[in-house]
Amino acid sequence: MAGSVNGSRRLRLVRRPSARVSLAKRAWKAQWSWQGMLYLIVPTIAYIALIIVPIVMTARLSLYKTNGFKTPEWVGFDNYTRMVGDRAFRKAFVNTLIWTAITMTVPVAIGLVYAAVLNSPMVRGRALLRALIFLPSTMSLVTLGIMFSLVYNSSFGALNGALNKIGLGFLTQDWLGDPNLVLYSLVAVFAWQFSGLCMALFNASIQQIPEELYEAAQVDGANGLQRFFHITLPRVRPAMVVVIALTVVQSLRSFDLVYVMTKGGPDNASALLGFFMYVQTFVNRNQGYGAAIAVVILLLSLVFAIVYVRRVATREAFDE
Amino acid sequence: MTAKKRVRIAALAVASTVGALLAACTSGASSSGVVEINYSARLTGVGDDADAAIVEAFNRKFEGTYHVNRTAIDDETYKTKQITQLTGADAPDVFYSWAGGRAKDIIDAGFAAPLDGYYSQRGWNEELNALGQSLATFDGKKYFVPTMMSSSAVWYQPDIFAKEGIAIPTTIEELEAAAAKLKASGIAPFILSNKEKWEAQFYWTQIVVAQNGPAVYNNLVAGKAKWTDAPFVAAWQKLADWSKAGYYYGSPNSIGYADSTIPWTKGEGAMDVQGNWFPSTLAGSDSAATAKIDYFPFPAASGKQSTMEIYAENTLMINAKSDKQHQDAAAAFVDYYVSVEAQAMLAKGGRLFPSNINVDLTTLELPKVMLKLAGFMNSQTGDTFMHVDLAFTAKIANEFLDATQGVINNTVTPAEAAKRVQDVTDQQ
Repeated sequence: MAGSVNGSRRLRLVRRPSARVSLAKRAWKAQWSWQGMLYLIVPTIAYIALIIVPIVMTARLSLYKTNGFKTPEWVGFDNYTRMVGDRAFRKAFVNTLIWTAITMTVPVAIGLVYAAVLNSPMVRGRALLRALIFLPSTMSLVTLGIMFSLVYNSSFGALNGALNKIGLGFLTQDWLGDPNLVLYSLVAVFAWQFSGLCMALFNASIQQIPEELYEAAQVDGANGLQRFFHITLPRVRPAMVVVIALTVVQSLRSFDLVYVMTKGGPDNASALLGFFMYVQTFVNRNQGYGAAIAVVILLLSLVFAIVYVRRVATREAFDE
Repeated sequence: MTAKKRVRIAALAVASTVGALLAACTSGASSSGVVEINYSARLTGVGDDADAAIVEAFNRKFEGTYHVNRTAIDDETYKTKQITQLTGADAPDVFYSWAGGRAKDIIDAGFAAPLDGYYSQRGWNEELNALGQSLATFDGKKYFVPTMMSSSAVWYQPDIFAKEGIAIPTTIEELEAAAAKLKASGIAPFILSNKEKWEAQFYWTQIVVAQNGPAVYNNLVAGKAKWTDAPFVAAWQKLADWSKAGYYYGSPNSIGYADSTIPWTKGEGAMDVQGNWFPSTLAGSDSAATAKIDYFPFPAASGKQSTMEIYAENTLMINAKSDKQHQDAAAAFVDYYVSVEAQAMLAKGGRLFPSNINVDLTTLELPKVMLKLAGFMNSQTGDTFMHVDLAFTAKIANEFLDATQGVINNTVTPAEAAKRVQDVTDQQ
């Protein structure tokens, strides 16, 4: 790999076009390998068949009106313009942005704090605590959804029951029935589950930090917080880049919790784009509109990916 | 081994693999003369074993003539898989369908065969529930066979009514008076669980029919009235008024249907407007609860006649794209499915009520309350109606369900709810 990078640098120095072509040909021949091509063909075909073709087909379907039974009718960009006036779509779109913003920060921050605290020699039973914090990550969101539906029940749920028992009855809420609260109730479950995985990834990263750095900082009089901000945080940056990307991908795909806990209700207050797409495509049988929503989700992911790769997941971030 | 031999063996292997694949892909009449048909069943969690047993019994009975291959699909997944199945290469010859709007989608798409010929030939006209048959009729033709009839009513706790000195309401005014009395005693009048969105539609539809009669509601279904018309807005208003009066237990939009049995068995609520599956659900939480439950038809406004909702919960359609031989075989299967023998199997498995009127319900060891309900259902021969998500297309129904959640939460006004649903109706 390094050789080819150097080779291309050398090629750039050659000014005469004919010589450059000849060198490029020689380099191409040297790198050409039938075996390599064969290795590439299978994943390329798989990628095209399983990723590119469905995307193209979905984009094409988004230009039609169809319920899956009848012959699709060409409607151009109607499905996209319809979104603007669709109250439910706007709600799901804003909800998705809020959901993503919370999930890319809260579980990451909690996971980092967990990892930092559980790497402190002063904490006893660290392995057990790590296992307990990681445990929710191994559970399916459907299971958690069913469990938390009961926990959140405003009349006989465990959360309000516990708040009443400890004298904090004034904090009891209609966790799943209040349209202003329901989205945050759901995202809290997601954050609780995902913070365990974040903790595990940060933990692996923190354990790679040389102990000498902390010792030197301690000798220089740095306190725990200063050591965290000046040593731990910069050193876990590569892990953070990965963790944030993972949480965003997960949050854009979120469906299970909403489906199990609220079905997007009350009155779409907790609907996310993924769920809204499901309702339109499979329940309402608006397959064209559903496909258009899928394209919007794809575009959101692409925008995130481009900005993230260019601004955050840079070579410098991993070199540090 | 020589190269020639290796090539021959490879060719033989390829040929046999292709042959096996072709044989596997081929369905229909086999060389033995047995007509094979595909049946797509929807699993509901109740009576699924009985459904499978019927297929087995049919295959035994018609061994050498017909053979049914059953594909069972989970309740919610069925909605999504139905399109794929019907439009796929190996489409079912006979399949489950909902009645109402969803059935119409399939009929309009040309997948449901008209069954009038089979109705006469097989005697279904005489032996199947008359209301079920009328629901199967679209533009003068019958497109499905009802295989299970259902109804909805006001389920109540007689012990609580007796303790509070409340008589069974005979008018909607008496119902509201009873609700006020229960509320004053610290008991929630209605345990409305509306987290899954479909539950409140029973209340809304019953209120419309109670105050105006079934014809007004059926006009809406037929597209001859608007959602923004006064009778429909008034029904939403009633739901909102009851919410403001605190007639519902807890926060309805955060309580799931299954969870609603908890306050019911604790005696924290007195009534619920639900389908006839409610006692079975209750029995899952407290087997003794079914003995302590009763029902009354949702009372009409003063001077009006009460009407019970009776509809076909489960139906079977025959694929219009199948050839005549397979359609005939499918009809033979449907005929067995609605026979007294098979319907009794389904009823014993919990799928109530049989669509075949000749089934003797007294032989099924049903709870008293269910026998009473069955008697009432059979006695109602006049007009009936279907709740919203069965009567209308999914697009309209879902907007209705969402808006109704908002009305119950008092975040959407009745007029706004009506406008939203009418807008979606106009777009269709």
